[in-house]
Amino acid sequence: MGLFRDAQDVYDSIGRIFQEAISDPEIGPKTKEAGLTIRFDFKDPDSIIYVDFARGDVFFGDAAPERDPAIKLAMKADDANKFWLGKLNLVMAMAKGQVRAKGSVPEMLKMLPLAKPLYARYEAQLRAQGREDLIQAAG
Amino acid sequence: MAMERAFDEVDVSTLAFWELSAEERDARLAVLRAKRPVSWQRPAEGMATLPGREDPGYWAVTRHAEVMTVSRDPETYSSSNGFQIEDVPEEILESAGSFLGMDHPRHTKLRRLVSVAFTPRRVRALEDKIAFRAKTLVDDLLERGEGDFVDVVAKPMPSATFAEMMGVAEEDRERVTGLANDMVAWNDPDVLDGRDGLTLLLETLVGLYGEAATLSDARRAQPADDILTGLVTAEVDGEHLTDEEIAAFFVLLSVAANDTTRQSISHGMRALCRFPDQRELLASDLDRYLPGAVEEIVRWATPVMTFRRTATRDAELNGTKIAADDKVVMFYVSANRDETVFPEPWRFDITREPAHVGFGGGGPHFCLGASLARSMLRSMFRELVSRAPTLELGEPSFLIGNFIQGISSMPYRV
Repeated sequence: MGLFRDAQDVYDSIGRIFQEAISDPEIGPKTKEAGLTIRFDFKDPDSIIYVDFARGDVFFGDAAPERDPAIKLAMKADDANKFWLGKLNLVMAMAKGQVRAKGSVPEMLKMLPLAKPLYARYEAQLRAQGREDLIQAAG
Repeated sequence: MAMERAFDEVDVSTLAFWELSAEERDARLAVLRAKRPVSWQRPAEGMATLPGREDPGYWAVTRHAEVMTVSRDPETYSSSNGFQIEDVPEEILESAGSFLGMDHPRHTKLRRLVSVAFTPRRVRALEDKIAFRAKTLVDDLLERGEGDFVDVVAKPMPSATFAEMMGVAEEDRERVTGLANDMVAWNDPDVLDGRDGLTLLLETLVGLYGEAATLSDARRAQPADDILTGLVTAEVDGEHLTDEEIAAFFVLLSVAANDTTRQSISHGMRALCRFPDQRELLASDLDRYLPGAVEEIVRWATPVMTFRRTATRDAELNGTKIAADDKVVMFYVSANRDETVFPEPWRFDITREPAHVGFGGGGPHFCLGASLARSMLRSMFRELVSRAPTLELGEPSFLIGNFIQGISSMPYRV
């Protein structure tokens, strides 16, 4: 059993940080410029987040577009939580098979630095949502 | 802030420049050494750089004296903002560089933790094995009579030494060495085989991390008498190395071991064949000439051609003003041909006073493996020179890139 109750719980926490990124006056324009589409397939619980940075849209679950994204990432929702708290080393996670990535590596490397400034914001968001359990579980 | 400056007319940033022969490259570098030892260059071309990245350019430091100055002043010339001539993405550098890409105090702490694993007893045990391995490799070389010098001699020596330090099983050695060799070949079309440089870097990194994680877990469950066991148990001031720190060091060491000494062995043998008088002199009294020959081989080979620093503050280098945040690239490949330090630099001379920067120009980042590298080269050339006097080499094929001065393959015959 993972940390998240259900798919909606994932969308309310991890999904929300993507929405924050897109609407952020500083980070938003950069993610738009990078113009990437990423699809996340999470396990425990099964959930899908599809982010279209160019259009500034975040889709959840069945609402995810059919079209192939530039990057596909598959991982446990708990590991995604760790990533957003800056506690997941992506290379190690890929080496251990915790994260499986498909798609353009250069595009992915372009996006990663944009995520960093959001770690603190994700943590603050979890606190505001009363989800200290997610912060503590990440170690 | 970096200002708008004109790029030097002697351009050492293009891949076309790095595709030239070492002699042709040095003809251009010699102009810079003589006229503009610290020159402003346009951003380095290469496949490890993200497209569309803003990059004002860098200072090329081409003389011996200034390479020493930069190396020994880590407070002004920082390692934590990249160490490659290209703007390699931070995510890759952090995973691959370990303490190579750090400054004090992180660098000092991590290097100390790692040093704990290199006990004198473990290093002595490695050296005994190196001497034995050199003998068996030359047995093999003689028995085959002909083949690829790189595959038969140059590659297996450091590969096996690294594998023993890290406890890499016999059947995994070729794969791990292959990953380390490919990792530095991000600008070589043959190795890339259609991939882009960043994909190659990430793939090789993930492969090496996987190996490091498996091996570390195994050593924790069952300690052995090797350096990796030392790394998983190392403790300084109550702190241990994390899995990620061990993996990053594993990557650093795999590259540092497999991609440098291998090149020195190949370039060294080639030099001895091209300068038969030096080969004869070395053979005439190995005990006397071998230490000097090893140093000259490292100078001649300069396996690591460039490393970069970033200025932390405004500074001056040989009269040139360096601004804070400017990138500063040390061209070891040029400093080791500096005619003011090495008269007739293109003469291979085993009796020279050693002053090369093949292990770096001193300072805190001086090559941690220098003594192991020397040990491998001594053992290897002792065997090669005394037991394979008729060995001849054909034309090598060279690795393309701006980091490692590599020989991919080189036919031999005895």
